[in-house]
Amino acid sequence: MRKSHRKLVAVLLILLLAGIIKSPWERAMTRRFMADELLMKPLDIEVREKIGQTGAAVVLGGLRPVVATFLNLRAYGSFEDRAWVRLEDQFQTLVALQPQTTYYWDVGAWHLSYNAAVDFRESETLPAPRREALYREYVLKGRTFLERGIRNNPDDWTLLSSLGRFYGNPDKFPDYAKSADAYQKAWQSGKARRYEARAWLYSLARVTGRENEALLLARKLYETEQNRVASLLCLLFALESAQADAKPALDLIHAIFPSEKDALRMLTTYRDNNAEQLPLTGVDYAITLLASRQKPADR
Amino acid sequence: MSEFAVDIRDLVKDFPSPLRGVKAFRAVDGVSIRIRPGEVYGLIGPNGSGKSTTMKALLGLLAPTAGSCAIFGKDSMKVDSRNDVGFLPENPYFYKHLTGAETLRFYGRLCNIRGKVLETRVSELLDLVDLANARDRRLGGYSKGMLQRIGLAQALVQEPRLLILDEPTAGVDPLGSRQIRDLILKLRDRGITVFLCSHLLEQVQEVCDHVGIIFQGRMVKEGRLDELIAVEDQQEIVLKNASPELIARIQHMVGRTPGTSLVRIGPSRTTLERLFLQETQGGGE
Amino acid sequence: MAERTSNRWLQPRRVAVLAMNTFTQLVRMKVFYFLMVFAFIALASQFFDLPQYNGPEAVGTGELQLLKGWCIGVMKLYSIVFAITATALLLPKDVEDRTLYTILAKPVPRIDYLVGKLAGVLLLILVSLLFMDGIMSLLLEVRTRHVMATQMEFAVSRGWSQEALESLRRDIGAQGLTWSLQGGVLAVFLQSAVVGASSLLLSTFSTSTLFTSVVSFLIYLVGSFQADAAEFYRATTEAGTTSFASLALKLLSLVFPNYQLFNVTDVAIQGQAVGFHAIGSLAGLSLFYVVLYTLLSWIVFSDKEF
Repeated sequence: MRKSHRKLVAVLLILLLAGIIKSPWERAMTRRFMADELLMKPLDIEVREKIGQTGAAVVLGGLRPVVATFLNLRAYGSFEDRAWVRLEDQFQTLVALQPQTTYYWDVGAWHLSYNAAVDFRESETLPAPRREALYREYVLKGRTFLERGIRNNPDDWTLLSSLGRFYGNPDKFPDYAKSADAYQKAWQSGKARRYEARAWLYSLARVTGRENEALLLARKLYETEQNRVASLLCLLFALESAQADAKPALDLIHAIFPSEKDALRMLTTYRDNNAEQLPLTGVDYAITLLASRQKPADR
Repeated sequence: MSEFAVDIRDLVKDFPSPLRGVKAFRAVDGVSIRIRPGEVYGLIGPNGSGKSTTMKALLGLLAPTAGSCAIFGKDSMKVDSRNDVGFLPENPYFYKHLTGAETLRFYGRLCNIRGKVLETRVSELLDLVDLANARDRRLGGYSKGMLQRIGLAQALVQEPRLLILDEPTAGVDPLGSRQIRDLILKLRDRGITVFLCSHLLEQVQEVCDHVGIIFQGRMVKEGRLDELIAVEDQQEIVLKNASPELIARIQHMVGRTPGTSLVRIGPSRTTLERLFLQETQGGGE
Repeated sequence: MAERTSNRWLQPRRVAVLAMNTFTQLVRMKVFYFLMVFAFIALASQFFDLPQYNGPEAVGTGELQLLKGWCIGVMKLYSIVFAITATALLLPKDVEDRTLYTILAKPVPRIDYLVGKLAGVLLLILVSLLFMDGIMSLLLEVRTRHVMATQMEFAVSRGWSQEALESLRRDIGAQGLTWSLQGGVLAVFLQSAVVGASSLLLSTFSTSTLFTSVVSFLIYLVGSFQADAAEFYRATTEAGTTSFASLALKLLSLVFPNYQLFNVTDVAIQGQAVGFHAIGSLAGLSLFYVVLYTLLSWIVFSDKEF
């Protein structure tokens, strides 16, 4: 054998020997890193096919963020062009590249459920039944997309809050029970804002048959001064009023609201701007009562 | 300590063929060269005769197939043997991104020369090779002659006892050539051993004490230059301003002496080239 | 007469001379300037806003993640490309220009030459990464302050509690400039060191810069998915692939480095803490590979003929 070939064989043998030494070391490191969540999950095969051989090679080279950034820019182009199918495809790829970047899940879902869905519904070229069908399809696509995002990022409260918002939107085939559930999980993560707790209440209050649960939650939230926003006060009033053994309206008003004047103002706004379709039990009566009690100078 | 600066004994170098079943090419076949300290030795031969291979074996750039090479008694394959060697390769480029001074500093530091000693040495060498004005110019802007001279300077940076020069004047203009040759003579006067190879036979003749002629990997002739280019059974008398009558009388005298003949009357000519052709082609006068 | 040179292997001074010469050589190469300009432009592009879909209240930590991801991605791309190409061209260039002869004609052990060359390349990558890290850190700090200010203003206007505000401040801070992120940058450097050393090994076999670059890049790609290959091998041995395929996959995972381990950078970008032990393990693994490849390079180079 020629000297150069002998050298090559020697190098390969040493590499193999070194490989036998280093393999268990690398495997142990991999296990520890995955346990510490320092390594992201490997990409699945389907995604590799989608972004092509070159892209996959680059991605697997650890350059996911660079590819994702470029793809994000192109997705914005799709948004401007209203190319919804292409946009959906791009966001599916983006979240596969960067499953822990919640931004992509959130924005992707928003594009599908809001921008795409509405665009289809307002289309001048499609027949009416088709428009409605596409509207529904894309609203549901957005929600499904977000739910996948939550499965990939179970600890992220922002996605849960977004899901709660999606399910709680009266124009988007609402499911208030699921909305309440999402907000509850967001709040219980311990990292969410107080808003998520209130949002949980607002959704729960709209679930038929769970009014008692909502009332208990409302009372609990009321205990914290920062939660005593107008919507919560009015909702608490409505839930209390709906009870079989409800106290008189005026007693409730005095117990809940800072003043009768504030109560009148808040309840009037609550009733007149109730796009979320929150409970209104006793609200009309209370407004009339409070109006009659107003001094002429206060009217 | 060996008495020889360079001691090459029965050097053989084979280069294996890339094709299976084809015999290896023998570039050097049993070459022996011994150079005493202080001598200037010229190795001459046509292209592909094994000159560069011999030099590279001496420098440890390639391993002999058989035989040995030693520099001042140290095996050429050992790094220690290069403590006392300066080498100028054929058509060197060096690092274009370095200036003249930076180049010398780089090689000086490789030889563990530092600080003020190095700076002094750099300035001295640049003066010696007449490149002081170009010390801060990058080598990318140097002419061929300047590159050869800076090459010579880097070879001298650690004050070696042996200088190995591969085609030191190749591609250099006559003026540059003259400068390099003068430098070699100066170094000889300082006691530095010089081992050079060249195509330019006139120039070898001017500087070398000893010459070896290598052809197809074999040393075909070797010895003191004076002795080599002397034709044994001929004497040369060089006359100046000789009248035609005097020449005629000399011719007459020779004609009357048995066993002696007049070979040539005419202007003096170099004989090394003739000898070279005679040895390599088997002909020539 | 010059001071007698010490001819011990791996003399630090001599290696340093060769490293600094390589460093200077690469810095003074035009291609280096182009690469740095490219990297600078790529990083500075982050001064311009990415597409914003929502109002200021939506300016959040997602934006910071995108910034970090882009910057680190550029750094990684630059360091890998440079580690491969710079190392691949050094030996062939020295041979072609015959500068190698003048260096080896001095009392320079061949291993010093190799280590010096590699050290020069890695030094340049380190300096470049520090420079780019500086730009990224500056950008990130500016953006983080902007996000913090915007979000805090919004939160305060909504009457958030002190506890909630603190939680928000912590969350945003975790996405900003952290030591974990610097650990991620260090992981980028460590990976480039291994890639550079593998390129050096290849260049001792090959005289072609192009061949060395292409094969080094392929090794990098294979090393990046060899963990997947090993997993595939484990899964398919149950499904009953041919023994040849299983053997081939096993050999792959033995011979090639597992570059996926260096992707801890990804989680650093997400704002997750990357502990000292992880970086320490990576440093140890990198050192193993660099030493292994350098030794193998020396085995090949030690009696290479020129």
